[in-house]
Amino acid sequence: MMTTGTRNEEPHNAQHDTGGSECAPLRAALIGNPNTGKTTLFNRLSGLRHKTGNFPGTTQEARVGYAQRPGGEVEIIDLPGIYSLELDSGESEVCRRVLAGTLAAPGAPVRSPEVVCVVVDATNLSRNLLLVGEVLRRRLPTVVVLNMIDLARSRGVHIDTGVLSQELGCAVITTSARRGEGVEAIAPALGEASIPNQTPPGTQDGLEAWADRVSEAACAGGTSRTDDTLTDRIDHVVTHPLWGVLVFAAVMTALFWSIFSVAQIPMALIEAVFDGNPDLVAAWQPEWLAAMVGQGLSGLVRHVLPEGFIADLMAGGVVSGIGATVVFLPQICILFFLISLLEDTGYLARAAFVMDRVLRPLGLPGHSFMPLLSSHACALPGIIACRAIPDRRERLATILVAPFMTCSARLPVYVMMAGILFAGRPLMAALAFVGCYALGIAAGCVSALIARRTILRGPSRAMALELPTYKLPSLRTAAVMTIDRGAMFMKKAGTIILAICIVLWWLGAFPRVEPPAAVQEARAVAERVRAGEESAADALRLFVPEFAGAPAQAEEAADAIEARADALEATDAKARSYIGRMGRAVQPIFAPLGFDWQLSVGVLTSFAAREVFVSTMAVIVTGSDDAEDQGVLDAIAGATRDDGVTPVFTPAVSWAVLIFYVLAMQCLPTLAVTARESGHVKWALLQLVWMSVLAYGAAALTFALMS
Amino acid sequence: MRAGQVGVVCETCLDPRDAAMLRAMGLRPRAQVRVCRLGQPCIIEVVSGGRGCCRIGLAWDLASRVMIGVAVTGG
Repeated sequence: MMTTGTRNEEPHNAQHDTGGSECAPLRAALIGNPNTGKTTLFNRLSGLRHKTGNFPGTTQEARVGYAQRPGGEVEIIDLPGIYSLELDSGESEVCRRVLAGTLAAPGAPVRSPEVVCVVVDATNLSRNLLLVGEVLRRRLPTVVVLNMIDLARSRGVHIDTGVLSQELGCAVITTSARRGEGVEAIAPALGEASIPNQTPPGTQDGLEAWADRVSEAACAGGTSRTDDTLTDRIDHVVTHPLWGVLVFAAVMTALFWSIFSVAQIPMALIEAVFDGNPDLVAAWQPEWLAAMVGQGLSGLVRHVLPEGFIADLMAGGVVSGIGATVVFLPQICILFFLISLLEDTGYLARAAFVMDRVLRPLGLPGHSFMPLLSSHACALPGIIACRAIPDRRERLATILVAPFMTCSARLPVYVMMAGILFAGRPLMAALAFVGCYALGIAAGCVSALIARRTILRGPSRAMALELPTYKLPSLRTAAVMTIDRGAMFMKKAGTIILAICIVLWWLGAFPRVEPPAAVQEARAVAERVRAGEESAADALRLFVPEFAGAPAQAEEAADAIEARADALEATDAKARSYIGRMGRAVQPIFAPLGFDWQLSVGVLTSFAAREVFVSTMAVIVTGSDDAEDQGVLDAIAGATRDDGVTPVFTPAVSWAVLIFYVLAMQCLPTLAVTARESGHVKWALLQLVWMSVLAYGAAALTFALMS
Repeated sequence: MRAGQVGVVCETCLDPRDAAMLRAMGLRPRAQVRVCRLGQPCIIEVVSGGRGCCRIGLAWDLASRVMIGVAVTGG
């Protein structure tokens, strides 16, 4: 339903002011209090036709969507939810600047919006009218959307939109964004909006009195105070010091169980597509396709492109880089889908208070818990989830410490090192695992405390949150949010990760070197064995001594010798590559940790992603990157230094490696996302330096003590 | 006050930033409130202008600085 004010003495239609360009869509700013259904309304209006970024120079999210109206298009800017334009907060400042025409979404020309659409909670009209009054004072064409009208009616509140429109001097539309009722009237109304002739008082007292008077005039029915004993009871339980924690633990357990269990399937599929997994696809694909997909996209690229640099670059750099990024996507999407559902129920605002008690002594707010917990799956969604933390200092502190939480990428390293340290002692290995988790959490807590008392010093703002009404969540809103977050991750992090992966690939693949003499000799012997010109047993004894003595056909022996030759060539190529040379060059830096050049190369190559450490060690030691093969793991455990006697992984070195990987940053995507979410690359650099120094110091201390 | 009691906000002893925030959220002088839960957090229902209400959760630090005059004893 739409009602238009009748007291406009100064007609100024929004349609007339589209920035002087007939092609430019009508720009509308969508503004409103938190919990008014503004995001749901935005999603209804624009669907998937929107893009997300940050307002330039801020950490505030800018969502811009597009909707059709008679005679053109509307560009809708979804502004942060605020209670007042006059507050000293980042959100209010962004809204003020957008309305003043000094700030625009990324890529959009800076100009004032032609029309402002104020979303109002119909169940709390008087309070919401304060923001309406502040907008009206800015003398911009305005449309007021009275959302959640169905809920207001169910509470016995009846609002006369004709009276309200007259009092405000602008069009008033009633909607239920959740049900999609009345939404279709908004876009046409935006095109016809006029500057209201009503100017509310400028003082806060005057504005409050005005809002009460307008509310009284427009509303019929008794007070909308709910006396909601059911809500009281639920609130009492979910915010209780004991029951609240138990409920929270149960909800979080269910949430993360869902993420880990559900995400396994798409992650396995993605890995199969990129890396190849014949076991997964060969059973139900045609043979030719199974063979192709079984080798992964890298194999497909190599199959299609002629052999050479381009094929190597595409398969080893580009496809692997994309695969390394895309594999995180299922966890990110599922996490944000479930968080969006939870938030929509109204529970998360209560949960924030439960965790506030725990985190406040560390200088972090209750809002930090969800990002920190998410970081145990992957730091990327955890850092993105920090947007929910209103205070800038607290948000930055949480972003800085989130990567200390043990993410899934650390697990392969933990598995390998625990296996080396406690071979055949699963209980001790499990305790080492728990210790690693605890160390990461402790390091995060201490770092947060230090940050909040030094570089991010400032008062901890006591928490004040509006507790939204409990309701069933909107699947549509959650789906749009999920697509939005997933696309944003792929667009921003993906480009940077891809570039770095290509660089690392190049450093590891070049310069091209001739195989060493031993490799060439092994291949020649394999050929002679295959041709029956040389004894298989003698050749095996020489090149694959572990198989010596076992009866073998000439063909099998030749294959085994060629496989050993390939492994030797890969190891040699890695050692002589640029990154191998860098490993030798930086080895003195890692000497206090007990690392030899092989471990130094492992640390360097895993700078982009921690889990690469395991496969790098496998390649260096055995020439195979199949780090899941127990034989390979045994070979890594038994690897020796250049003298051929001293083990690479002594107990002291193994502990040092483990401690290093618990605390070190070693995740390029995280740095990229930190730089974006914090608004400046200096925070990413600080995070890198702090975590690296801490990891180095702790590992060196461990090595010294254990030695 | 006890949970269930209704009162009117008399004054607040908050720093200006918090005071402005709470006032914008509806917790302003003479606003009618009902205490839903005492403690950490303190949950109050704010009735603004007699024509709307919302629930606000307040950390005890904040809640203890908001003076409320008991108007009617409920619950």
